[in-house]
Amino acid sequence: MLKLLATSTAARPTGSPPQRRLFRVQSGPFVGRLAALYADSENSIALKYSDYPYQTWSAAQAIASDSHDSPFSACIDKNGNIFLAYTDTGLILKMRKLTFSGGQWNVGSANAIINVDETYRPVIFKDGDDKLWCLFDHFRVSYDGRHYVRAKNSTDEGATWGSGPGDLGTALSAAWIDPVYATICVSGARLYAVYCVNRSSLKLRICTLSDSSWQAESSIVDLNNVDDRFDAAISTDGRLGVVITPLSGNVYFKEFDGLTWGGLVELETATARSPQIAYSGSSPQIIYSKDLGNGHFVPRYCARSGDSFEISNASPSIGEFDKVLVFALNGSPQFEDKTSAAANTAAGDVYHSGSQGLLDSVGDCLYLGKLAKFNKAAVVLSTSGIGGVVVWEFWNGVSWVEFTPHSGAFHFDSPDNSVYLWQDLFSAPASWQIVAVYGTDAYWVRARVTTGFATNPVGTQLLAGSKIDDMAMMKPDTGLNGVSS
Amino acid sequence: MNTILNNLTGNRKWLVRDFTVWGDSDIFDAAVLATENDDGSNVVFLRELVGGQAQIIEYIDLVDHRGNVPPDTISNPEIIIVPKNHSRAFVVGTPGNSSFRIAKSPGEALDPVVDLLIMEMK
Repeated sequence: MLKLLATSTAARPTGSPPQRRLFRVQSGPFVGRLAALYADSENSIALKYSDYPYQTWSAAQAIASDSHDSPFSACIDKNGNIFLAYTDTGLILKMRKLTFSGGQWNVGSANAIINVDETYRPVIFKDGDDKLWCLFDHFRVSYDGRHYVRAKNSTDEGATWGSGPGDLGTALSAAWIDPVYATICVSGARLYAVYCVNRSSLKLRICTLSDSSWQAESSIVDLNNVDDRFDAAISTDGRLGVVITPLSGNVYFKEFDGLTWGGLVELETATARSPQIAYSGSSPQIIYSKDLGNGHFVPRYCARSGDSFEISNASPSIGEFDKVLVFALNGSPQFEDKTSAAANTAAGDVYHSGSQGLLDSVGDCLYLGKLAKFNKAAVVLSTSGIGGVVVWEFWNGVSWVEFTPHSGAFHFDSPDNSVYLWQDLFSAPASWQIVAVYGTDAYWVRARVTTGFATNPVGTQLLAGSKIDDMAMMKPDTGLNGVSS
Repeated sequence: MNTILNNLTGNRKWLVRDFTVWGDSDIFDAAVLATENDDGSNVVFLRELVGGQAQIIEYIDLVDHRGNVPPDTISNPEIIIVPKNHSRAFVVGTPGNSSFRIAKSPGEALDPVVDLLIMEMK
C-alpha cells in the first residue's frame, strides 16, 4: 500500500537513512498505532498517526517550528513517549519529549542537548535503563573547523544532557574535514555506535552501558562515498548488521557476531540508495531503493535464506510494468510487446514498428499493465510528441472508463514525466478490474489517441516508477526504537 | 458506574474452534516513511508484507463456539493457542486491538489446526 501523507518544502522531509522517523506504540489500549514524524517545511516538524490498517491518518500536529532544514531523528519508549532530537535555526541541538497520553502526543518544551558551535543529524535512543543517548555531528567552527561524532546522555528524560548544554560530551571519532554521520543500536548491556567519517570509512565503537565506558574505535569497512548511505540494526541474538549503498554503486551487507566481523557481502550489483535494515529474529530484513534509470527508483526487499540472500521488489505496485503493449489500429500486427524495452534505459526503443512511434493515429493505444494496482506511470521519451491528444482509461470490469490523471492531462509532449494517474493507491478506483489484453491478465491503464500526432512520440523508458528516497523503516520490537526487548 | 461497567465488559472470552493456520512465520512487515521527489516532495507511507504469505485475522471475522462474533476491537487482547494436530502455530508479535497475526512454525508440512482462546485483559 502507498499512502500520501503530506507535501513538504523541506530539503529532506523524511531524513537521512541512519535516522528514525516511524514508530509503533508497543502496548496499552493504542497498541499498534503508528506515528510518523516528518519535516513539513524548512523550519517545522509535524506528526501524523494512524491505526491499523493505516489507511486513514490523523491531521498533522505541529511538533516544532524552530527546526533547521536538516535531518532530525526520534525514538519511542515502551510507554509510547517519543523523544525528538533536532537542530534548531540557531544550530543548537535540542530535544522535545512528546508525552503519550490518551492516544495523543503532547509536545513538551525544548531542552538544549548542546549549544556549542554547530550540530547536525542527531540520532537518539533510549536504552533499557531509561537512559537517553544522542549521537550527532559536532562541527567545531570556533575551535578547529572539524567535524566530530559526539555522544551525550541523559538520565532525566532529556531535561539535562551531561552536565548541561555547554558540556561537549564524549568525542567518539577523531576530527574530520567532511561531515560525519552516525547511528546507534542497543543489545542487552552494550550500545553500538556505527558512524561514517572521511566520507568513506565506517567505524564502530561499543559502550558498556553499566559504566558508560567506550571501547576503542574499530573499522567496519571502507567504501567510496558512503556518507549517510548506511544503516545498522541488532538481532535478537546480539548480531550487529550493517547495510551500505555507497555512491559508487552496489548494495553491501556486513555482520558482527559480537566478536568478529563476517565478510563483506554484495547483495545486489546496482546503483542504490536509502538503505534500511531491521532484524526479524536472527534474519536481517533489508530495504533499499534501486536505481532503474532516469531518476526513478524501486524499493527492493532482501532477506537471508540459508546461506544466501533473496531479493525482490518490496512492493508489487512500484517498479517495472509487468507488461507494456503498443497497439496500432492500422498496424500488422496491431499489438507489439514492449515490456523489456520499456524497462531498460536504452534511448528510443519503445515504439510500434509500423508507425515508428509509441502512438500515432486515432485509435492507437499504449497499454500499461501490472499484476497489482499502481498509481503512477513514469514516461521518459526520446522524442516528444507534437499535435496529438490522448485520453487515459482503466477497465472497470465492463468497459474502459476515461479519467483525467491526478497530475493533469498528459499527451506525451514532454520528455520526462511522472504521471500521477491517481494521487496514491487508496485513490485508485475501487472498480478497477483485472482484464486480459493480448492474452495477459493484469490491471491495465491505457492511453488512447483521440487526435493523431504530427510528430510521433518515441519512448525510452516506461515504469510504474517512483523517485523515492530517504526511506525510514519502522523497526520491529527489538529495542531498536528505544523499546526494551 | 464505570467500575460496574468495566466489570461487566471486562475479561470477556471467545473460544474459536478448529481454526486452520496457513500463514508463514517469516513474513516481514515492511512499513516505511519515505519521500517522493516529483515536482516537490511528497511524504508517503509505504507498507508491504514481504517474504511469504501473512495470515492476519480480524476479530470481527471470527465466530466463537457459541456462534457469537467477537467485537471489532478488543482491549488488551491475549490469545492462547490450543493445538488440535501435530503441527504447531504461534501468534506473531503482540495482538492488536482489532487484529492479530498467526503463523505456522517453520518447517511444518501440515497446516496446524488449533482452537483459539481470545481473552480481553482489562
